[in-house]
Amino acid sequence: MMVTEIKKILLVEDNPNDAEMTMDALAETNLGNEVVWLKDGQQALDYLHCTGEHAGRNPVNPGLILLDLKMPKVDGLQVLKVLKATPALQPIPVVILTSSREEIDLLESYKNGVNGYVVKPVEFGAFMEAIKALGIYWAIINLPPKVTI
Amino acid sequence: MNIRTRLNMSSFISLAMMLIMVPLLFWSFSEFRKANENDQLADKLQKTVSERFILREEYLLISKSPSTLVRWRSKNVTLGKLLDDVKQRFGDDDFQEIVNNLIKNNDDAIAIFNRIASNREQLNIVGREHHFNDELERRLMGQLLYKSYLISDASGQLGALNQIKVERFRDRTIALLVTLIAGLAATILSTSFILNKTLRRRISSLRASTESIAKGDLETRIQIIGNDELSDLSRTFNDMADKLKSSYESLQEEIEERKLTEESLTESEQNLRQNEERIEGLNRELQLQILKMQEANRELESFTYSVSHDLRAPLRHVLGFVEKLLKLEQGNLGEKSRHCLDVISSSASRMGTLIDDLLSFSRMGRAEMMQVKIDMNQLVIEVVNEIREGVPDNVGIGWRILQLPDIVADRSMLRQVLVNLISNAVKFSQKTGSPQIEIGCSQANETETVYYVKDNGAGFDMRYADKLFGLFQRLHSPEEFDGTGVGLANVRRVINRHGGRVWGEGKINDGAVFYFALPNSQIGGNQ
Repeated sequence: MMVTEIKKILLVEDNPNDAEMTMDALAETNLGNEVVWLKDGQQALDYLHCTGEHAGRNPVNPGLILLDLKMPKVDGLQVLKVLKATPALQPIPVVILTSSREEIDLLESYKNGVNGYVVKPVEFGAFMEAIKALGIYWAIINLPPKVTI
Repeated sequence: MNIRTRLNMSSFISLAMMLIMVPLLFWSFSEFRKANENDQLADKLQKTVSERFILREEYLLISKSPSTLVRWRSKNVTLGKLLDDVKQRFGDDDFQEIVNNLIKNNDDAIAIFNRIASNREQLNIVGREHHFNDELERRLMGQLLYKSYLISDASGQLGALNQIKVERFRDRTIALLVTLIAGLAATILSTSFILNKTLRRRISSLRASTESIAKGDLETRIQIIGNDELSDLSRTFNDMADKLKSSYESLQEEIEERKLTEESLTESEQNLRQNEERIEGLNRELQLQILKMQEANRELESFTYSVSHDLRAPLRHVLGFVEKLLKLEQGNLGEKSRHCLDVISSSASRMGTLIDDLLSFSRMGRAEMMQVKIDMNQLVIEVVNEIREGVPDNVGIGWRILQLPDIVADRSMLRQVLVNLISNAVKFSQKTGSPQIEIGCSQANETETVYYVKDNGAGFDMRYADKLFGLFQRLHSPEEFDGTGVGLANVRRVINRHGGRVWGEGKINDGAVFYFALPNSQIGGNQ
């Protein structure tokens, strides 16, 4: 019996302030999706592969991954590469959420199959609007393919 | 005197001697031979005279036979012929008298004999007995005997005289022959002696000089004596030695020169090698510098990356949490607290702008240029339209865009330049009553094209004109006009990278003109 489950949003962000602001913004959209905050790339990979401290979790893929680029241990680009190279994880929409507007980061991200690239605006209002728009677009409007695990 | 002349003379003397002596010798020899022949003739004469004498005696004294008489007469004829010969051949004065006497005596003898014979015939005819004691015959016989002795004596004398002559001629011939031989020998000897004496010393000096030169002493010269072939030869030799010396010297000079050239060649080769080594060293250094520079660039890139990523995060947080605080404490905040939070917000915002501008400035310096042909009219209109969207409608700006020539440049960079200059013009002129902005081209010659953006705004003090383009340099306070002081620095950076120039002219409250000149040499280069 398939119950329509609201998929989780995975937030991979090392900075707690950014994480708090992002989660505030997402909460304001009233989407109802549970936001899972992971502090670095290694945690993200453990979660996705259901390994390490996430070994016993419900193995349902998140509906959206918001990925920061610059993180300790494993950075966002490496996580992206693993994601897009793993057939089971490949369909999950990944949006890079970063402070960097450097051309090289953009190029590398799109080369590795990112679904979106958003530069965190400095302005609080703009930042909130961007996160809200992101959440609405990917969690409601966008239709991902059905994947059986 | 020439040696040749000398030799010629000697030959001439010999020849002349021969010419004189040889005929003389011939003559003398023929005289001698003639005398010799005469001698034989004289012998024959003596013999014939004796034979006739015997026949006559026989006839007259013993046999009286007619055959004897016939024989006598024949001998007589022979003798006559001989005497003719003698007369002919012994023509000399020495013999003349003897020969004449001989002939006369012979004639006399024959006449006497004939008288005796005719006397005897007469006696026989009369038939008388022959009388030997006949008086006439005895007398005639006596005369005949006398004459016969004279003839015999003369013929002997002739032979003896001729013999003397023969000997004299023989001696003369021998003397002449000896003289000739001696003369020739003397001539030859004297010539050879003179030549020997003259030449030997000089030839040996010539030889010594030649040997000395052959050994390498080019200073050797021959002393010139007299005026003959040898002195000519010596002169020629000296000339040759001179030439040899000068050519040797010039050869020596040439060798010296070549040596110098070679040395300088070697030197320049060494220099070249050294230069090459130096260049190699410099190249290595350059490579090292390039590596260092690349390293520095990487560091710079990671620095700007960090700036763009890390520096903006705290600002975002400041702004975010101030906003959150305002939301949470809505109504609870006093006027002062609200002001404090506003200042925190605006400062953080401004810092964000500064960081963004700084990053764009740094990007302008690093980004690779893509030079293309640009339609300046189109680009300017595009930029102006974009800027006009951000300007409130109540600011009525009078735009004046003149015809602009095309240029070759990096499009996005040049766009940034125009954005900065035109937005500056808008910013500084919008507070005046009727802002006017003009964009045009002030000069388009072969080397460069000069564009300008002119406004009638706040202007600036020309004393600070050089500060206009410095990074973070501002001539107005933030209260008057906002801005980070990066825009014009960015303009200058872009124009400099294109090899152009940028400058500004202005007057306080009387507008400003910003010029930028781009080199035309790039036009036509399809980069």
